[in-house]
Amino acid sequence: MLKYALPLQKLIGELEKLPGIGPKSAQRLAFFLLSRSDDEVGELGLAVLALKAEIGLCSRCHNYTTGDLCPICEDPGRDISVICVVEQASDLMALERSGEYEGVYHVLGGALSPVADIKPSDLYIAELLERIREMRLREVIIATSPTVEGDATGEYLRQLIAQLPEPPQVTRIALGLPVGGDLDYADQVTLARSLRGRTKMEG
Amino acid sequence: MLLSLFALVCEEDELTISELALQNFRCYEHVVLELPRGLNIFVGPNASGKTSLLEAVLVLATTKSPRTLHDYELVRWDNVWGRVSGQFRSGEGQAVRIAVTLKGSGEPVDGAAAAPSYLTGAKHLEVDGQTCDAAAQVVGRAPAVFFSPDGLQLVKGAPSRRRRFLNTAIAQITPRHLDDLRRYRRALAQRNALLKQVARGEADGATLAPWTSQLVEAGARISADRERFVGQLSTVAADLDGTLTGGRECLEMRYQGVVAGVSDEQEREAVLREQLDKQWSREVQLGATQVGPHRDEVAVSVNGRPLRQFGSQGQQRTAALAIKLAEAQVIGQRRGELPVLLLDDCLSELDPKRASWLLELLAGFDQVFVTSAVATEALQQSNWTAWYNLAEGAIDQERRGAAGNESQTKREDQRCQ
Ligand SMILES: Nc1ncnc2c1ncn2[C@@H]1O[C@H](COP(=O)(O)OP(=O)(O)O)[C@@H](O)[C@H]1O
Ligand SMILES: [Mg+2]
Ligand SMILES: [Zn+2]
Repeated sequence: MLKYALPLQKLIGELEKLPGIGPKSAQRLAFFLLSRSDDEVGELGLAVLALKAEIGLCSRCHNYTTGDLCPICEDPGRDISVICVVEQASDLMALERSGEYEGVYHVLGGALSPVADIKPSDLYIAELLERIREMRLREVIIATSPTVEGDATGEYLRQLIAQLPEPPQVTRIALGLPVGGDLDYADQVTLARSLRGRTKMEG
Repeated sequence: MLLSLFALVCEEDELTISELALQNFRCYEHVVLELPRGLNIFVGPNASGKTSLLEAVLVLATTKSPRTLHDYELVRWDNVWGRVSGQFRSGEGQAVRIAVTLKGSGEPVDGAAAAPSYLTGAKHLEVDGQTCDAAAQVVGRAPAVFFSPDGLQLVKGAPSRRRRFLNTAIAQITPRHLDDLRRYRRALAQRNALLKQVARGEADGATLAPWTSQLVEAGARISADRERFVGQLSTVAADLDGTLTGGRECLEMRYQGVVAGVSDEQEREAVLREQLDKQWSREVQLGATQVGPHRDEVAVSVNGRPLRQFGSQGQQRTAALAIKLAEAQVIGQRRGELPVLLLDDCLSELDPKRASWLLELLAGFDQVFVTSAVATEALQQSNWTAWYNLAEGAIDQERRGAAGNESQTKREDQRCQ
C-alpha cells in the first residue's frame, strides 16, 4: 500500500478524529491545505493554536471566554436573579440565539452518566450550588437535554436545590413542537412527550 | 365472535403493499414485485427465496428482521450494501414509501457497487424519501405481522422472547412505545452501572434516585401498554385457539409484571418505585436492577396448565399460530386497519381441515402472503389473487381478477442462487 509522507499522514490522522470527517474527507482536506500558500496555512495553524491558548472558562458560569468573565456575566443588563443551567456552552449559544432569555447561565460541562463514569464531582455542580446560595436567586431554569442522562441530571439538581435554605423556584424548559409543523405531521414521539410535559394554562 | 371482529375492522381503511423492490437483499440481486391485495401465494422448493421476500416486508414494517438480530446478514453476500423499499397504500388512497438501506459485512469484492453516501451508519431509514433518525418515525406507518414455524418459540422459548414479541406488536400500534423502551433500557444501564459503583464504594447511594425516577417513568408506561395489549390479545387468541382445536382447549394469556393490575398511571409509578426500594440492598449486592419491565413475563396456559412446560408440541404450535393471528387482529382493531399478514411455511404443519379453515380466515385480511414448498390442494383451491412460482432464480407471477376469470402470467427477471 502506498504511504504518504509522514507529516501528511499525521495531519490526515488528526483530521480524521474530527466529528463528521471520515478518511476520505480527511485526505481531501489535507491535500487541499498542501496546495495552499504558506501564509494561508499558517493563518489556520495560528488560529488553531490560539483557540486553546487564549480561550478559557468563565470563572462564574463556565461559558467560554477570553477574559476572566464571559460577555454575558459581564453584561450589567442581564437579570442575575435567574440562572439557566445547560450541559454545554454550545447549548448556551443556542438559547442565546433565540433572543428570548435575559437571565444568566451556568454550564455544567456535561450530564451525569455512571456508564461513562461521569459523577457529580466531574461537573460544575458544587459551583452552581455555591452561586445559588450567594446570589439569592428567584429561579433556576433546568435546560439540560431531553435525554435520559439530561433528565436525570436535572432531577438530581432539583433534589439538591430543594435542600438549600430558602431554595429558589426550579423549572424545566418545556419540550416544544417544531415550529411550522402542523400537529398532524409532528412525529409521534415528540407529540407524546409534549403532551406529557404539558403545563397548566394561567389566565 | 371472529366475524364480528372482522366486521369491526373492515369498515375502516385498508392497508396493502403494492410494490416491493429488493436490491442485494438476501439472495436477490435485484427484483421488483407488484403485489395485489388479497391472498398472495409463493410456492417454491427449499432455498428458493420465499422467506426472504416475507422478511423484506417485515423489515419495512418494523425496521427489523424476524430471523436475525444482525442486520448485515440481510445484505447479499459479498456486497457492501443492500436495500429494500416498498410502496404502501391505505384505503383512502394515501401512499407511503418506506426504504431501508443496510450495510453489509466484509470487504467489497471487485465490481461490487460502493455504498450510497447517505448510508453513514449500519442502517438508513427513509419515509417518502426523507431520512428518519429514529425507528419510531418508521414503525407503525405500515404494520405487518410475520409467522413461521420458528414462531413456536413464542410459547416454548424464554421470557425474553415473549417480551420481544410484545415490543414489536405494541410499537406498531403506538410508535411512542419504542421511545419508552429506548429510555427504559438507557436508564436501566445507567442505574446498573451506578449500583455496581455503589457496591464498590465509588459512589453515593443517594445519587441513585434520579436514575430510579427515569426508570420508573418509562417503566410504568411500558407496563401499562403491555397489560392493555395482553388483555386484548388473550381474548382473541383464546377464540382462535378454540376454533383450531375444535373447542377442546382453553388458551389463556396473562401479563405478569410487578405493576400488573394497577390501572392509574401515578399509582403504577408509585408501586414500581416501592418495589425497587424494597430490593435496594439486594440490588447493590447483585449490581443489577431486580424488578421492572425487563423482567416481565406473559404466562400462557391451556386448560389452566402452563403451556411452556406441559403443552405438547402440537398444542404449542396451534397456540403460537393463534397468538400471532390474534396479534394481527388486535393491531387491526386498535389502528383501524389490518396489518399485512405474512405466513411463512405454516400450512404444512396443519392437517387439511385446519389448513382450509385457516385459508378461509385469511379472506378476512386485506393482504396476506403465504409461502409453501408444495402447491397443496387447499392452496390451489383457495381464493388467491396472485400465485408466484419460485424456481431456478426466477419468479413467475400469475394473477387472477376478483372474479377469478382473467389470468395473466408475468415472468420477473431476477437472480437468486
Ligand atoms: N445474505 C445472503 N446473501 C445471499 N444469499 C443468502 C443470504 N442469506 C441467505 N441466502 C440464501 O438465500 C436462499 C433463499 O433463502 P430463503 O429465502 O430462506 O429460502 P426459502 O424460504 O425459499 O427456503 C438460501 O439458499 C440462502 O442460503
Ligand atoms: Mg423459508
Ligand atoms: Zn459567564
